[in-house]
Amino acid sequence: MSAEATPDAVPVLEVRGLRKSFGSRCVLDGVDLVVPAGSITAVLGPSGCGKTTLLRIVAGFEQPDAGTVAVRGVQVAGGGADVPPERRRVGVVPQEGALFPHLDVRRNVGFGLPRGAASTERVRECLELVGLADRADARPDQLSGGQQQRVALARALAPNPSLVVLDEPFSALDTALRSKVRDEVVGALRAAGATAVFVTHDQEEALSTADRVAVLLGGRVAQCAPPLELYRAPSSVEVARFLGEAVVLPGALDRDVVRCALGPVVPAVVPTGVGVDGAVTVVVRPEQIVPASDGVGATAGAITYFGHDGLVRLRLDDGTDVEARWAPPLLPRPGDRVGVRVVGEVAVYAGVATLR
Amino acid sequence: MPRRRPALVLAALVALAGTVLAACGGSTEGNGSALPTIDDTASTPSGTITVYTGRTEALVKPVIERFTAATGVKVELRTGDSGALAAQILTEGSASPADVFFSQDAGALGAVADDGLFRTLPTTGLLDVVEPAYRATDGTWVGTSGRVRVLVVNPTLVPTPPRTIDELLAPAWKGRIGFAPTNASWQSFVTALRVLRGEDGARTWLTAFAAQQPKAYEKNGAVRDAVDKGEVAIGLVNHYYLYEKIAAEGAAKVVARNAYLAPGDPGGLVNVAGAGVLASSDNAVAAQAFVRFLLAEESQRYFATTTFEYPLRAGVAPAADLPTLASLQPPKIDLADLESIAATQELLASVGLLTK
Amino acid sequence: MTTVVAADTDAPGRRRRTGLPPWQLLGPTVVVALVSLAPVWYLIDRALDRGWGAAVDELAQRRTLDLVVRSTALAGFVTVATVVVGTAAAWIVARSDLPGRRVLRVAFAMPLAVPSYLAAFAWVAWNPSIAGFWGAALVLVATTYPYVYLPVVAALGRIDPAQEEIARSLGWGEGRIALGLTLRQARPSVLAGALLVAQYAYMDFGAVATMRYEAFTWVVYGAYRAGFNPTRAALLSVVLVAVSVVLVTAEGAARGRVDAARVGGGVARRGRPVHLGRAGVPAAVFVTVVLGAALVFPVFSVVSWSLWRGGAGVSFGEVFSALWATVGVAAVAAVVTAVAALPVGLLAARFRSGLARRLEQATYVAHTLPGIVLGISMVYVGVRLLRPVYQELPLLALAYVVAFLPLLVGSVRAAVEAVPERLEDIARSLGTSRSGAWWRVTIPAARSGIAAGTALVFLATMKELPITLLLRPTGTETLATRLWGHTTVSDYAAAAPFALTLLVVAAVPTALLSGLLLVRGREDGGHVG
Repeated sequence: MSAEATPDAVPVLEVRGLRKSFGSRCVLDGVDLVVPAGSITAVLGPSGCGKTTLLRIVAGFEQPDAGTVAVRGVQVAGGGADVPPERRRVGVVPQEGALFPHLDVRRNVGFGLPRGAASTERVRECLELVGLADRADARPDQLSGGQQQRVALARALAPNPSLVVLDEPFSALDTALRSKVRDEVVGALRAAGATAVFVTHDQEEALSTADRVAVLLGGRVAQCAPPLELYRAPSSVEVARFLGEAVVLPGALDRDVVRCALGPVVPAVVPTGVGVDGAVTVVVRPEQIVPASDGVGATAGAITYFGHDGLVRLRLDDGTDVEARWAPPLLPRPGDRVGVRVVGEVAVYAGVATLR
Repeated sequence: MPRRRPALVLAALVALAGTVLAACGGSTEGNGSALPTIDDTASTPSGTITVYTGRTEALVKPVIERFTAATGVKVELRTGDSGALAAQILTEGSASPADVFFSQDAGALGAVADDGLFRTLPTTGLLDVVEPAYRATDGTWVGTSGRVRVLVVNPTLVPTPPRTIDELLAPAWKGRIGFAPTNASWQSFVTALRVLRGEDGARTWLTAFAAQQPKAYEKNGAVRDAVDKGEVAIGLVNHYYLYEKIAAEGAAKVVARNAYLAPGDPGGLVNVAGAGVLASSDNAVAAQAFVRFLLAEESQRYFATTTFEYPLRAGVAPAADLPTLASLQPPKIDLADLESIAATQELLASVGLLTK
Repeated sequence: MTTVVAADTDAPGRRRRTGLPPWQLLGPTVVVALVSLAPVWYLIDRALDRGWGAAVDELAQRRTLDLVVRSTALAGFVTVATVVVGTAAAWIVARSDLPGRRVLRVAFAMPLAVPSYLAAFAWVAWNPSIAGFWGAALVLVATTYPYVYLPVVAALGRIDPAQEEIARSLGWGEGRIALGLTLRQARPSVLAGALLVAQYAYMDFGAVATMRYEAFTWVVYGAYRAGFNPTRAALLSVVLVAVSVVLVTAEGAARGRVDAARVGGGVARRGRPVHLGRAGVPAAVFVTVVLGAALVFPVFSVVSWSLWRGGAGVSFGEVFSALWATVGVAAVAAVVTAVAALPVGLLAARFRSGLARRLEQATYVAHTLPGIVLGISMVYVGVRLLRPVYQELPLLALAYVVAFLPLLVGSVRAAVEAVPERLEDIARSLGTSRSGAWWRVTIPAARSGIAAGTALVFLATMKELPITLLLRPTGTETLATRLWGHTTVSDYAAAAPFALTLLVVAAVPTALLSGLLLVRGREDGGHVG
């Protein structure tokens, strides 16, 4: 399936002001999301934040309390519309594949297709897309977790859906397997030209796989941007914290430089709305704190070794605790005196945020 | 409220169904005896009849075959327990498919007659071949063969058998009597006792009998065998059990003997198997012809020689060495009164003679 | 394959369906429920024949209360005993290392093939003094423990062994694990089986009559066959209906609380069997006693009947035609019951609303009624509403459906519950309608559980006696009715071939039942390696 993704094409998915509560628990509180054709969007958020609910509403298994959902410009939920799942053309790949146990792979993939020669061909096509054309006669219980996931994807793609939603599709797999399967799945999606939305709580996964990442915090989309932009310029301290390890420090804005406990740092974007006192909050990534003989003095504390790098806890001379990530050859011993400075641009926000 | 409505809908449907069923109810009682009697000898019987019988198939089949051979009328036989069949007929009411009810005992016949479901039988050649004591007073059913309650005794243990049931209560017989508490004939005897001596009289005798610690057996046959072996000295059974054993094993091998009770003693009750024609019958001519056939000499002799029962047709003698009914002078009782077996069971249970 | 303790995307509470289920499901279920309640209508109607006053008088007698107490005592004891025997047997087969487990798995289910009236008679014939409460209890436990055994052994096959391993690492001994963990997880299955046993203990007639234990059913039978008093019989039966409602409600309440902690997650690998060591001796004794009493003894008795007088005059033609009729009728009954049970089970499994629960319970209410009561009710209904098929196969099949529907509804419900709803959602996302998804995905995925329930109904129908006697087409005899006919006149030699054939043929669906349960563990939807 290839959509001619002209820039002004109708977005495949448009969610506006979606609200959903379960009892007294408000899970989605005004979610806005636009997914352009041919893109892979990740919805990233902590466990229990409502991302699965969002998926289920988009797919049609739940009704929103308020807001609208439109697929390819056609309103399917909200505003009086309630198109049942079987007519929405939204494919679903759930967390554990969920292949039909009583059917073999071929019949699983062909489930959503009418009988006929064209369907047989399409099934073969989709299986080839996911690289499992040779396992067409296998039964689900004969396949590994990763293979099942790929068959589930083929099954979802076969009827040419407008959109494919994947629910934490890789979290059920071994770590070693995960990235391999991820690559294969993403490859298949791109090769098919499909538009996909997948939810995950794994930042690494979201940032490395998607074209755009929507961060879901507090029932809303806090920021939706390409991964690089998101990581470099998170729209708020909460988003910044969520996307990775963060060292949050107070600072003072002085023209276009910010002074903080780690010395002078350069903001990626100069924030607006900074008060007269110049109080700002600075978010620095541990990998940006590098050893420097002429930098701020600090004492090394505990060191956690990860193999490819290590996390060093540092106590700056002024008492602030920070964490830095250094390559193994550079790792100090606990108690050593080191000097540190910040490289690269940092995220800076007006006002003072809670530090922990 | 949408949630309460389903329950209301269900309640409404339930009430509706109940009303429909109740409306289709109404009295099952009939008024068969008001129907004019038909003369089945005037026309040739033909077609098919359905006979409900509480007698064993092996016994009844030869009679049926001869009837069909003689008249060409086909018979569909439905076997069951006489009491259950009576209950079935009572429930079926005037819509019963049965043409003839051939019962093992008079109580069941009485119950069906009471509900007005039998039609009156013609007197000539049918009712009048049997003594009034062995047929319904209103002519709705007629006995076909009789059985006498006797004491089966082991002569070596019992040189002088008791002649009345009161003599059975003598201390000499304590622990040496056998009976079959669940047997219908025993229960009929107790019912007769209630009729002849009143409820209190029956209770008195039964309590005394229970104090004799009689041994309970599953069936009459087991009682007879126990007497034969000498396990118990006396058994309360029907007369033909002894002759069954003699016929099977030869007179030389059988030790036990029948001891008949004194004239008029309740213990010598004669009960009958009998038949009646259902008012609902759509082939009353053939049905009556069948009942007539049961009373024919040929059939009567058959009953006499096969099961050693007493033929009730005047002029047909019982088998070999059986004393005639006339000489036995069984107690005078309206057989229809043997209907209240349930009350008998309650009485027996309360005295401890029925259940453990 | 890692054992996954995955974040459950089906959060509790999420699946609560509000509003009415679709009409395609609700309609048939309501029809089935109403049909199941037909006997109750007849009984209430009949019981009030002579007015409320007479009814209350009749019921308020001391004797009625006595009978309820006696029947309840028996039912209570039998239920507890079958739970113990059934779960112990299931645990031995599923979790221990006792040799011969594969054979035992099927053997333990075999007593289902023995009709209670046959077993009772065999015991009493051997030793008449066994009659009374203990004899009745013995026979009832022996013939009904499989109702607990079968679902529990299936449930045990689905339990995640990781839990037991964790418990052991926390210091729990094997015994404590077995009782406190493994069997507790099987509680819903135990409860479902216990309900069926309790109902059976209340309604069985063959065993209590032969054992001369004065129970409720006896008096009901007496009211019909000796009292010719259908009103009294109906009144007493209404009491049984009330008992049934209590039982069903209790089971529903107990099951409801356990549902949340359902056995979940399906694993392909089996846990390591528990080594019995010295406990193997009592286990072996248990196995011997149970199978000896419930299976070997009745079969042996029946075989010895046929040797009694050398099997003279056995009419193979009669045996064969009875066999043919039995199998034919049972097959029709099983299929019709399955068709009726599907919507009810689906509704009960997928919709947790009060309405769905009431409808499911409605099908269970008539199960406590003795066979003769059901039979007479259907005679009444048949003669008035369905005259053309009265005493024909359709009405007989309908009566069997009313009698045995609970057996299948429970199986369907359990089997469908084991199929994740997620599969239906996916099917819908692929373009199938909701009811289409049930038809194409849920039911096929649940087929071994459904088939097991169908085999159970097939079996129950083959053994059935009182309803068959009342409603069979005139001239048709089944193995059970022939058997009955001969034993009433104590012609055991003639009865033996029918009894033997019945036992042998009944063994087939019984073996199928336990075999299907072997397959079941592997085919639960989505639970793959």
